[in-house]
Amino acid sequence: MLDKYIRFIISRPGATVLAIVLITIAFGTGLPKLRFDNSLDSMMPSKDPEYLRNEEVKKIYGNNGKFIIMDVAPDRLWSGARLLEFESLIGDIEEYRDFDGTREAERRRAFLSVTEHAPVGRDELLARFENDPAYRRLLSRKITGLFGEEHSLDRSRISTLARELERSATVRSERLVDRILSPFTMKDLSGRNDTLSAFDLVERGEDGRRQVPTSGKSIAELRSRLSANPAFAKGIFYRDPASGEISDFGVLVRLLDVRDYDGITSEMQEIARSHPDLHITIQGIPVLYHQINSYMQHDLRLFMPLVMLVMVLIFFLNFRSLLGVALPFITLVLADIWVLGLMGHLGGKLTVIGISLPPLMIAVGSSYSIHILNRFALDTQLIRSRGPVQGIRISMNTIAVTLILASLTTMIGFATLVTNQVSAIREWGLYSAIGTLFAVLIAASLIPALCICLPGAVQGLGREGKSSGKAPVDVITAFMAHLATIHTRAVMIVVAGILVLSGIGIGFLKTETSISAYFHDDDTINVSARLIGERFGGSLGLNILLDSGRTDGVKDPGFLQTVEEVRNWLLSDGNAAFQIGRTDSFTDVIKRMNMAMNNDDPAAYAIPASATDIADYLEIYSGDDLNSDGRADDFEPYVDHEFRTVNLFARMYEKEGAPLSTSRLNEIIASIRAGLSPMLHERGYRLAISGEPLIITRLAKHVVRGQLMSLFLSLAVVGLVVSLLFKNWKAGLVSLIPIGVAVTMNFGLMGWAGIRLDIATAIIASITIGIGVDNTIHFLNTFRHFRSAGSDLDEAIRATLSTAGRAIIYTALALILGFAVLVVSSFKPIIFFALLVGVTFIATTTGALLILPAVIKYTGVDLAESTSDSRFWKYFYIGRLFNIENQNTIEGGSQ
Amino acid sequence: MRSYSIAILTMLALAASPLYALDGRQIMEKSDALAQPKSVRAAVLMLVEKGGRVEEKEFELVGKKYGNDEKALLSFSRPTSIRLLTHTYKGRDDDQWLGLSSGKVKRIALADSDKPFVNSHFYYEDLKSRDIDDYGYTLIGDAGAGGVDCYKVEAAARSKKLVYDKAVFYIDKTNFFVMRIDIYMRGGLHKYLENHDIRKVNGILTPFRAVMHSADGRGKTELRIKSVTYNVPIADSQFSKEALR
Repeated sequence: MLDKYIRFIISRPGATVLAIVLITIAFGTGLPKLRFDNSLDSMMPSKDPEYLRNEEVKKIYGNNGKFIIMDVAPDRLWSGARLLEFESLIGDIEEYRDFDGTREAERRRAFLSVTEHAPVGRDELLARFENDPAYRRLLSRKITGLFGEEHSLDRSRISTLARELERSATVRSERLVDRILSPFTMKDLSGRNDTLSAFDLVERGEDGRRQVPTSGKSIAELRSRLSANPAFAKGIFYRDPASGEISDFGVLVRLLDVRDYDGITSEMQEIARSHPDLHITIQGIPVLYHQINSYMQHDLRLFMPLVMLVMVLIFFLNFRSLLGVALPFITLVLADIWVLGLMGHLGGKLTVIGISLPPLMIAVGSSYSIHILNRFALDTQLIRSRGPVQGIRISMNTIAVTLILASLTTMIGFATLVTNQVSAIREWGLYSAIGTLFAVLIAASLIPALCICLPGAVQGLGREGKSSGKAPVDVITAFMAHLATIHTRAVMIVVAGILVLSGIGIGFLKTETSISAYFHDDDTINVSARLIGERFGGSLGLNILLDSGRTDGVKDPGFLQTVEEVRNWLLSDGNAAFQIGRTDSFTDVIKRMNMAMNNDDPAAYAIPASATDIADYLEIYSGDDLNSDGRADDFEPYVDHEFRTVNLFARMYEKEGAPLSTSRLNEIIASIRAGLSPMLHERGYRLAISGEPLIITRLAKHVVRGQLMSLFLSLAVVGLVVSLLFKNWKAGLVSLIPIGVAVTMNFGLMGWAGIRLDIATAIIASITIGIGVDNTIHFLNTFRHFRSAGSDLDEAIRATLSTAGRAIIYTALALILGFAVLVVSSFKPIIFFALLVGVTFIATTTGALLILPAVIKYTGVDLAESTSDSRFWKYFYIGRLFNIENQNTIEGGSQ
Repeated sequence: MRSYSIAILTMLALAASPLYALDGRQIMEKSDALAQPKSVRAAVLMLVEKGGRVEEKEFELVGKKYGNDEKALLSFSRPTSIRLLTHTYKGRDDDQWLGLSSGKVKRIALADSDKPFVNSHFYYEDLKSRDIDDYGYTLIGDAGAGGVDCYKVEAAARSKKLVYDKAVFYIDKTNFFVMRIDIYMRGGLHKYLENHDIRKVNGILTPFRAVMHSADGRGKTELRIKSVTYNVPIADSQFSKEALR
């Protein structure tokens, strides 16, 4: 079967190359469709009960965890100029809430009328929108973003600008901004002098525009209005504790529940940057996701050239020829295009671990290329004597089994991740398995085909005259053979020691799925998260659901008093460890109305004693209910439409720098449950908790469970496949020793070094097994050949290491260095991932070159093909399909 | 919370006293000229259907004209006992007071006419008396509504200050009674009102059932007149602030 395929490739090299080019083009068209997605939603198992509950909660209360929050802290906040600038900021954000298609069409026409005669001056274009200040500012920031301070817009720039404006209009037309909470957009109540009035904090004039306070009197009035409502503090303003003055404004942009916030977040960040005088710090879960996406794109741009460079160096070191660099290089680039293009076509998304796919494919692809080219290099004389077609056919037949077995086991290692509940890991497993198949297909087809097409190509790979004396690689393999055969017992003792130490380290292993843990502590994202937390209570929202047990139970003063007790308990000094910076609740509205009904007496900022009063307040509260669900829109985040359950929305942050790690979140949620449930139960109420923090902790559980599942599954499947391939159960067991040691070392090291098991590091075990077993198979295949040729144990070990060792070391080098470039990543998990992959590959390589031969020598295990002709082997000896026996003969012959 | 006297009329007889004088302006003027009561006393059931639940509210309505001015008292008996007293004046702002169930009375100076009235699908804007000149009218065709042939008249807002961008009236060709109004806000159909069970009471056309539907079909508010009498004597003391306590 294999020979037929190889004959086909070699007899039609031109058609093979053409077919690969056409397939590459087909897959390549999928690349632009590739999208990034790092939301927890994209990772969570869709059937997880907590996830489903959270989705239900989102249906009832809206996606109140998805908001962008801005801290606006300019110098001289209370000057007219700054307040006017703040008005511009709010106006800019409102464009994303109040998109008007007709007005946008007019703007488009106006833009086209000015720009039809290029070049156009920036000022000339902006002047056209003198009466449309929000659009004028939008244009200005887009021009600055695209062309800096350039003043002249030629035709090409105008086209670029028009495209950007269209993109922005698309984002605005989605109207993702649900509500804007700020000192300029909020309303309040007053009940002074027995007169009840509802008013905008900043009133609007006859023309419908806000009357921005600029005079001393109007500014003082705004300050007074802000101070009058206790719920506004740390909500829409922050008071500097030193001066006692309002020093910052808060702007909370609540977004509708959608999957992709990238576009809107990018626009909000751009708006924040365009008001430098306001000193804006921007935060929120969408900002975190957006930042991850930006970093990922940055990382990809950075990684790829670096990985390529590393590969070029390794290829050159190995082959010392242009073709020896070019052929594998083309192979691995194509492998990347195929797998990423396929992802694009199938709607797959690049997640935070997904970005390791391109370097992984490069590393895997390079290892197959190195195996093939090394074989060609070894067979230079054969190819010369038999002619390129026949010679390459024999040479390919020789290496084919190693390639197939290596890629098959690698694919199995990756594919076992599809059993993982975490979708990001599952998809990674699927695409990396497919990518491995692509890589081996391309390497095994393109390289021989090109070598036939390019006369003299193989001769260039020959080693004659290229090395003087023993290469360092040969020294290493000889040393390993010496240790394995002469100091066998010592090697076994050291391995046992390492296993014991690793076992202890595993006991310290912790899981981490918190998003903030993706970033360095001093990353702007974490710094701004702490600042926003201190001033406005944080951006990680916990829904604490208090169920009154009956319809309209929320209107009962006793229940609302309990809600207040719960709030106070959550924010009490004794519970500072909960790291809750602020709570928002339905009771704020009731308390404020009660205060207004009592002539704005601050003492009346409390839950009224009478249920009738509460019912009256709700009856006269004239809030919009645009979705007709029975609640004023203002109430939606905080009460269900049956007025049975209150959602106490608690915002968390890394108080005093204490990280909100997964384990910490687990402890906090457990403490809240333990602290509240008995008291609520006693009063006939019930507690439920949902929200992003809970999802993070659930995700961690899935990561661990999935990790264990795929670990055992991949070990079992790999052991089974090797047994069936070699027709020897002991071979299967032996093959697991080096990778088992490496995996144990990996987790042990993580435990000792405090590196947490997260989404990225969770896949290391599978990579270790999938790729690490290649070396084992390469070793076993060659070792058995020498044993069957009559060598004694020590001779076979030495011969195997000197033959297979070279390819094993070079492929390991390619993999280690390929992944090593990931240490420049902006994400901590990816950095640890790269370091651990390096360590485990060193371990698996050492495992194959030292531990495996030492175990074989120590145990004296017989790895020869079973002579049994039982029915089982008749049906399940899959090595037959790959002509192992035949290939062994050829391999022997070609050497 | 303005102009509750007209709220009364809206609820009882949004069509009996068509709030909009339109046309083809002539059509609307004819509609506007239909007989109006000097006073009214009515018991009204309000059914607010939202989120799959129907909430029942009940109130009594008492209203009286004083020349060009009007006074009205709206007394809820369900779900709470709030009362709203409104004095509407021609040419100046209305006065309005709120009486809570507890007996506490507050003067009201709320200004948002684009907000729901007692959490229903009626806005305060729907309850206001209006100037026919606020809108420009165009006869855009004929259409059926409530089982009768109607003129279809579009009323376009002349000022951006008005809550609604436009309204389309369906006016009975035989008696110029408003059968339906499509109400547009922010460029789109926002809600529509349908009048049903139209009877003549004391010579005044009165819809005994008026339903305001939200355009997205997610909810509606129905007003059912349980009893109504027009032009009955009503003591002035009923419209004093003290009457709220």
